[in-house]
Amino acid sequence: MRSFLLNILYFSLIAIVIHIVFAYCADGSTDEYYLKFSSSKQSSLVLGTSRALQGVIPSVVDSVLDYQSPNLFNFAFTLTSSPYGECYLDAIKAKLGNDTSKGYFIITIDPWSISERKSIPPEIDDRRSVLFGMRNFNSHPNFEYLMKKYPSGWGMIPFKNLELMLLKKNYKKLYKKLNNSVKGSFTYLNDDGWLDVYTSLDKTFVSQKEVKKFSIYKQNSLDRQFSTYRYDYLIKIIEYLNSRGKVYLVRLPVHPEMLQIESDYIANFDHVISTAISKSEGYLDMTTSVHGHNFTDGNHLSRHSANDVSIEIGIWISSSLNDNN
Amino acid sequence: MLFNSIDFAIFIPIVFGLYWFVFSKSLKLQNLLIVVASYVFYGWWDWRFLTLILFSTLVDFTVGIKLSQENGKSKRRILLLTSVLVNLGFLGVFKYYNFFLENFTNAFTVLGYNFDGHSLNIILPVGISFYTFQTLSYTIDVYREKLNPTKDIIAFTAFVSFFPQLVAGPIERAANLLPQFYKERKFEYSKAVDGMRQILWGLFKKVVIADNCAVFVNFIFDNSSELSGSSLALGAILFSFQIYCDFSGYSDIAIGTSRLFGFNLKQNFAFPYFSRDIAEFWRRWHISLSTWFRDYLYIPLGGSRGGVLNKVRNTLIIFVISGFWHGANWKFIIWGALNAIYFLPLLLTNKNRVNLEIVAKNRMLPSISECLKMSATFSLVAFAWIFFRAENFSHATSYIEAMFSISLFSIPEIITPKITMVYTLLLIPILLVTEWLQRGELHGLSIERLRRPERWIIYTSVLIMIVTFGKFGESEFIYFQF
Repeated sequence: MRSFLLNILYFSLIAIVIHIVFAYCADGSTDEYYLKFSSSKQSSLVLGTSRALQGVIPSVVDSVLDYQSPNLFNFAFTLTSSPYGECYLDAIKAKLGNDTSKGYFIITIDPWSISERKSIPPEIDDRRSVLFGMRNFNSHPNFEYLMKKYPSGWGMIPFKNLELMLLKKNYKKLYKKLNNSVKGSFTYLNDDGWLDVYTSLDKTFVSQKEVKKFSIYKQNSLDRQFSTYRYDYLIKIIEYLNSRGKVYLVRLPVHPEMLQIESDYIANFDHVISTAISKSEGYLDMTTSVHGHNFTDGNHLSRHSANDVSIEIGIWISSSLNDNN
Repeated sequence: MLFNSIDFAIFIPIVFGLYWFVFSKSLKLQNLLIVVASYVFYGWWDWRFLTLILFSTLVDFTVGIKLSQENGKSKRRILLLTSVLVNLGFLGVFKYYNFFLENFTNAFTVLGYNFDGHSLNIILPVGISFYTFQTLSYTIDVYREKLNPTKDIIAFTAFVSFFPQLVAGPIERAANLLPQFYKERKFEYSKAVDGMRQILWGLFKKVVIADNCAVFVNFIFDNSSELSGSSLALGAILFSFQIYCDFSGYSDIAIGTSRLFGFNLKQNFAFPYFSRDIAEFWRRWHISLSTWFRDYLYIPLGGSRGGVLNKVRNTLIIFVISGFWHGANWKFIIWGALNAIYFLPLLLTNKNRVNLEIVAKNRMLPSISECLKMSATFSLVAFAWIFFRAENFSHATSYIEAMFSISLFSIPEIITPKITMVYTLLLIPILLVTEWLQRGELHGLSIERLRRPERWIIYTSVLIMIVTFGKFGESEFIYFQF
C-alpha cells in the first residue's frame, strides 16, 4: 500500500508540475479575460461591458493622446460579468494602483449596463460574474483565476499558444476565407486588455448573427428593467475614479436597429443618466455617428471600426484635456 | 457523478481511504461502505433514481430467497416471472412506453381510428438498462440452479449497485461478481497499479479521443445537408472512434476502479476495430452485453441449432433486440438488423468462428489480406454507426444518400476549429498504434513487462496528452442514455 500511495503521489506531483509550468505560458490566447487578472496594477482604465471590451483599443487612444496621460488599460468584460455594481467597483479598486491620482477613465455606458433582470436581484445576479469572489487581479501566473476558471486543469494553455500563433501567421489567408462565408471566429486578448475578434464580415453571416442578437436584446428589454442599484453604483464608480483622475463617459455606436431597441427600452437615456454626466468630465454619445462603422453582430464593433472609434475617443479626450489646460 | 469530473476525483480517494484504512478489518463494513458510496454516486444525478434501484434490489433478493425455498416448478416460474416483470416493467415504463404509444397511435391513425394515449413526461434513469440486466442474470441463474441465492442483503445490494460499473457496465454476471463480495479482500499492489493504468488509458480514450471527435461529429451530423460526401464519410469514421473510445474508455475506468477495491470485472472490449469479420467484431465489442444476450436469449431460443430458418430467426431476434436495448427508436432497431444482415452470411456458411485468435498473433504486422479484412469490417461497422448516431431513421437515410454522392471523392471541407481537427486526426493513430501493440493484453496500457523508467515515460506522456488535449466535464458518456 505504501508503494502504491507513493506512486500516486509521484504521479500527482507530475500533474502539478505540468500545471505550474503551463500556468507560466498563460497569455492573451488563453481566454478572453486572463490578462485582465494577470497584468500589473493600472492607472487608467476603460470600463464597460463587451461593447467596450471589443470596441475601445487603449493603445490607439494612447497614441492619439500622444501618451500625455498614463497608459490606458481595457478593464471591460461582459454584460454578465461587468454591469455596474459592487462586484465591479471592488475589482476596479483592486486593479487600480494605490498611487494613481492623475489617471483617465473611459466609462462606456448603455441601457443594459445599468439594468437588472426582473427575476433576480442584481446582488445575486452578480454571482455569475467572473469577477465575483476574486481577490487577486495583478499576478502572473494568477493561480486563483486559473483554478476558478479551469477547475479541471488548464493543460490546454500551451496548445492555445500554438493554435493562436498559427492562426495569426495565417491570418490573411484565414481572414479571406472568413470573408468567403466560412463560419467561425477566433479571439485574442491584447496586452492592453482589448479583445481582438477575428471574425467573418460576410454579409449573410453577419446578418444571421444580427437577427439572433436583435432577438436576444428584444427579449432582454422584456426581461430586464432599469436598475437603481446599478445606476447608484455607476455614480459611486464615477465618484471614486474622480478622486483618482478624470472620468469620461462614452456611449459606443451600435447598429441602428439595436439603437431602436434601446430607445424603446429606455427613452430619453441621456436624461436618465444626467447625474452621471454631470459628475464626469464630459459625455460623448457616438450612437448618432454610426455611418461608416461595421458591426460583427449588430452589437459589437468590428476590429477596424473599433480602431476608428478609439481614434475619435482619443481626439475628443485630447480636445477636452486641451480645453482644461 | 461522472468519471471525468472533479466530483469523482474527490469522491474516489475518500472512498478508497475509508475502504482500506478504516473498514479494512470488517468485510461487512467494507460492503456497507460500497453500498453507501454507490448510492451517493448514483444519487448524485438524481436522488429519486435511488428508489428504483432499491426496489429492484429488494425484489430480486426476495425472489432469490424464495426460489431456494420453493421446489414446485410452477411456483418457481411465477417467482422468476415476478423478477422479470418488475425489471423489464421498469424498463418498459421508463424507456419504451412513449415509443410504443407513439407507434400504436400512428398505426391506429393509418387504420383510420383515433387513439388518444397519454405520453409520460418522465426522464430515463441513468444506467437502468445495465443494472436491470445485471439483477435479471442473478434471478435467472438462481432459477436455473446455477447459482446459490445469497442471504446477505448487504452483499447483494453492493452487487446490484457497485458504483464503478453501475451506470454503463460491464454488465456483470452474479456468478462472477457476487462471490467476490463474500471473500475477504486484500490490497494487492500489482492489481491496484494495473487498475490505475487502465483508468489512465480509459481517461485518455474518453477525454482526448472521444470528446475531441465529438466536436466534429456533432458539427457534421448537425449540418449533414450542407456538407460534401467526403465530410460525411469523415463524420462516420470519427463517430466510430468516438463511440468506441467513449464506451470502452468508460469500461476501462470502471474495471480499473474496481481493481483498486480488489474486484475483478470481466473484459468488456477486446480491441474490436482489429476484427477481421463482423462475427469477430461482435465477440470483441461490448462483450458483457453480447454474452448476456447469448446466454439468456439466443441459446434458450435454440441458438444456431436447427434449420436455416431457425438460425436466421434467432440471429435476427438477438440483433434487433440488442439494437432496441440501446434505445426506443427505430434507428437502433435498423442498426441491429443491419448488423444481423452482416452476420448472417458468416453464420450460414459456418465461417462465424474462423477468427478466434487475435489478429497477427506472434507477429508485429498484419498481412495485406488481414489489413483488407480489418478495413472492410471497419467500413461495415462505421456505415452501421450512421444509423446509431443520426437523429432518426430519415436523417440516417438522407445522410447516407448525401454521403454516396460524387462529392465523396472531394477533399472534406475545412471544419473550424481546423487545428483541433488536425490534432484529433493525429491522436487517433496514437490510439491505434498503442492498441495494436497491446492487442494481446487486457487493456491498452498493460505495460508491467516494461522497465520502470519506460513505464514512467509512458505515464507522463499519456498524462500530458490528457491535460493538454482532454476535454473535462464537457460531456457525459454516450452509453449513459441507455
